[in-house]
Amino acid sequence: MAKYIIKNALMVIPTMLCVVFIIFTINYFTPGDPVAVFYDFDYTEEQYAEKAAEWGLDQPFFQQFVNYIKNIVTKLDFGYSYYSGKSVMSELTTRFPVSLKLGLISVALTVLIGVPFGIISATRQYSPLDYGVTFISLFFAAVPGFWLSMIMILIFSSRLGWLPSSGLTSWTCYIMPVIASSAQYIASITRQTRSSMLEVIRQDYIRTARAKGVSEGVVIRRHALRNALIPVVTLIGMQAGAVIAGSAIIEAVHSFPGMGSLMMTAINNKDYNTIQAVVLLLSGVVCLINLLVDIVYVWIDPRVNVR
Amino acid sequence: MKQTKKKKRGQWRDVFRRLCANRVALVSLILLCLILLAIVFSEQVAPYVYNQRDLDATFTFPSLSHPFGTDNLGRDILSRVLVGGRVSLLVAVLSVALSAVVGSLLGAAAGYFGGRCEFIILKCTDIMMAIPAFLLAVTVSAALGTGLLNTALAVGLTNIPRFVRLMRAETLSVKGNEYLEAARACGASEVRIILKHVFPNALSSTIVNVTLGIGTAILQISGLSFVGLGVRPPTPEWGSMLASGRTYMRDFWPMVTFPGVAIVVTLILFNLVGDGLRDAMDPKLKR
Amino acid sequence: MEPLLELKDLSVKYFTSDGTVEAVNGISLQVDRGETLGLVGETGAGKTTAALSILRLLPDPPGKIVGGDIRFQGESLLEKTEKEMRAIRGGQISMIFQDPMTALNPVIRVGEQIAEVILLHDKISKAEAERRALEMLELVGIPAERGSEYPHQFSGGMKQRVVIAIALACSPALLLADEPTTALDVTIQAQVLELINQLQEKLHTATILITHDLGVVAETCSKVAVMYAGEIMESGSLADLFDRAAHPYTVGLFQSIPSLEEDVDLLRPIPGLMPDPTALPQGCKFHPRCPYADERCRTVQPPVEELSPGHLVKCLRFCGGAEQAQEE
Repeated sequence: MAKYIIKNALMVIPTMLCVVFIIFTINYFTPGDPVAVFYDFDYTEEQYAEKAAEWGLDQPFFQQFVNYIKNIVTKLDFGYSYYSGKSVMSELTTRFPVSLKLGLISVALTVLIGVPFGIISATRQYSPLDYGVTFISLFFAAVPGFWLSMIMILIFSSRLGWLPSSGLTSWTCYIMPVIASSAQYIASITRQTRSSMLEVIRQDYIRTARAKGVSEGVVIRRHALRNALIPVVTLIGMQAGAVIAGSAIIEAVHSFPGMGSLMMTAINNKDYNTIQAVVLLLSGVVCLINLLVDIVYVWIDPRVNVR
Repeated sequence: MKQTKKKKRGQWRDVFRRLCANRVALVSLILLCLILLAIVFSEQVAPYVYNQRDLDATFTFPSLSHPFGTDNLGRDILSRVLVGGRVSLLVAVLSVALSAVVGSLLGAAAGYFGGRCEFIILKCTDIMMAIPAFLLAVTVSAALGTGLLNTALAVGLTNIPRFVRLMRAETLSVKGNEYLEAARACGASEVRIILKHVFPNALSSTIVNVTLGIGTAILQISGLSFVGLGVRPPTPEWGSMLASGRTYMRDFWPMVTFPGVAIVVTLILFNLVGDGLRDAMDPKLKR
Repeated sequence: MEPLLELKDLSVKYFTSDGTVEAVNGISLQVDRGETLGLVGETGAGKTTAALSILRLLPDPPGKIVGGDIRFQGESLLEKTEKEMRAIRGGQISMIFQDPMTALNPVIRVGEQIAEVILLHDKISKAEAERRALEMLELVGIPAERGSEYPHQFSGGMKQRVVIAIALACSPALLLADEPTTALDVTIQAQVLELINQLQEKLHTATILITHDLGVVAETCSKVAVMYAGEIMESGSLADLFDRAAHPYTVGLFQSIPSLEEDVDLLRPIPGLMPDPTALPQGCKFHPRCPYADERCRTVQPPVEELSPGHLVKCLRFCGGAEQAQEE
């Protein structure tokens, strides 16, 4: 058990290295000269050489990559913003916790609402409640988060004036972004849990449990639930990334002072180094969530240990 | 040989029969076809030319002459939603085609050859899946630049892993069958074996995956366009229309509402048809 | 003496979207205390459905008991509430399922799975239940230490032993064993059967052994009922069936198994297939495959005829009315 967890935790390192390599390479080959863009194509030779040296762009590709990794690992330094010329990290320190909070709340909400509704829906198959849950989750599974954000702003901020539309001044500012970034995934977790539960209820071992005289409630809680959650946990791992990535756009819609808004500005400014830093940090968070999912997995499914 | 062909055809007829028996799926299939037709022939169907400006009639709310209203430049929103759908859908289909073809080939190779080949392919997909799909699409799209093909490429690349996994699993399940041994004993080449035996067997699950994948792709594309990558204005695309509507959102709701409704309706239909197809192709799952 | 279990004219139907499946059509059976009844028939003859009906565990929808009665220890099981049924399931009547690979819950330790049934039916503490669960494991020939393992760590035969331990943990009065050895290796089959026999004698449990293997029946059962297309075609003592088989289907079954004693050149399989249960034939259900079938078999439902005390057969050839009809 401990060995399995340590093994998985160690696997995060090479995975993240590869992720950094891929993103870095894509970025390196992105057309456009960041130094020239920084000076708006109006610079002297010396200015250019100086800036390129400061940003480390005068070195060969591999050296640049090694430096990039080294700076992240030793100094948590993601280089300079190609737009403002400031250190990317100076922007990120205040924004990262905000985004992390938004992302984690959304993932938690996805699990805490999606799983119970899926179970209730499955255990009352063909009841009005089941139809209701199925219909609502079908609808929300198709709603892009950023659009839901805008519609919610239209209704709850512009029309009703109940919630602040943008910024982060109080906890109420979290309500709409959290709903917008989790709604779609709550819906798909609900659907997956429901179908997984229905699948498990048909299994032979559920019949065995009933033949023992176990009551229906205990059959669901003790015998069906854990088995049904196995595929759901896999899906949660896969969707955590989507929730966090999706919350990046939603932050922008709500002018939320997180990394997502920063990334949107960076996209508009073609500030690739900042985009890269945000993508890497968010990927790192997703990697850690996946590690957590792996651990939950061993706890839920005893068969994993053997492999 | 003839008999297997007949059986195959019978199998598809069964799928069709079961699909028709599922009323929800049938209705959504018909609706989806209607929407797709309207989108494909949008220039003929649309009441106005999509980029025709009318500066005397900007920001008009829905009315009989403009059912969805007009936008900031007086262009008819309904016509733009229809033509924009064509762009969204074209890019989505292209991207899914890319991920399905590349992903299936890699997956089949991984499943069939096993060993180091499988290890490398699987590790690569694992690493790709460690990066949230949308963020990967953002990075690739930023590198490639905007435009239809580049966007299709960016979104297509990020969705390769799901097809790799599917096809690998299918290949592994077929690989154990004795008729593959028989085919090899008859001297069939390995590529031929994959083409003739593995792909037809994996077809049904791939069709389902493609249907659901187009829905996901539409979402990702609209997201990319919304953040300013992907397809840029003046080319109408649902995501970019939402982005330009955002500026006027507080005073003029139709610009941010209707393209979104179009996305939602199309996606619901794709999901319903995908679910229906899955049930029809794998009857033992349902009941 | 009153029989332990009595099925009276039991009928079960499955109402599916592809049509109504008449799975069990008016079967009557009696099982006395401590006795073993073999329920024989091909796959799809309705044996499992009959067993599940006794426990009222038919998948509903689509399955429904549409007629007849099931009486256990003199009381109708069909009139019991769900709560009363739960007390009976696993306590007084328990069941061994066909496929041990899927019958155990993969995420619960086997010891706990056995303890659960004991805890449900006997008023004892949890620790006591767990101790008895381990005793049961030893009883079925598995070291008690393995009680803390999960089902995937056991082989098929071992899993079936666990299933048997669960079924017999509360010393039930009746055991329904649904093809308990079909999914196992031949070498394991004998061991498992032997185990069921031993325990059954020890605990004085009556058993309905569902199987399609006549060899197994010959070794273990005292009474036999032969099922075909949801009906009991012939039933009687082991000797009645094996030495004086009357129904053409029973005869066909015996002719289609190879024998060591007799020198037979060719096995004689029964021609044809089981009829489609959504469209059963009129008259005698077996007539399309019966070598003796005549015009009347196509239209007339054969009544049950008692050839000798306890030996019942459902065929027009042994029916008083048959000769009359032929004379006309």
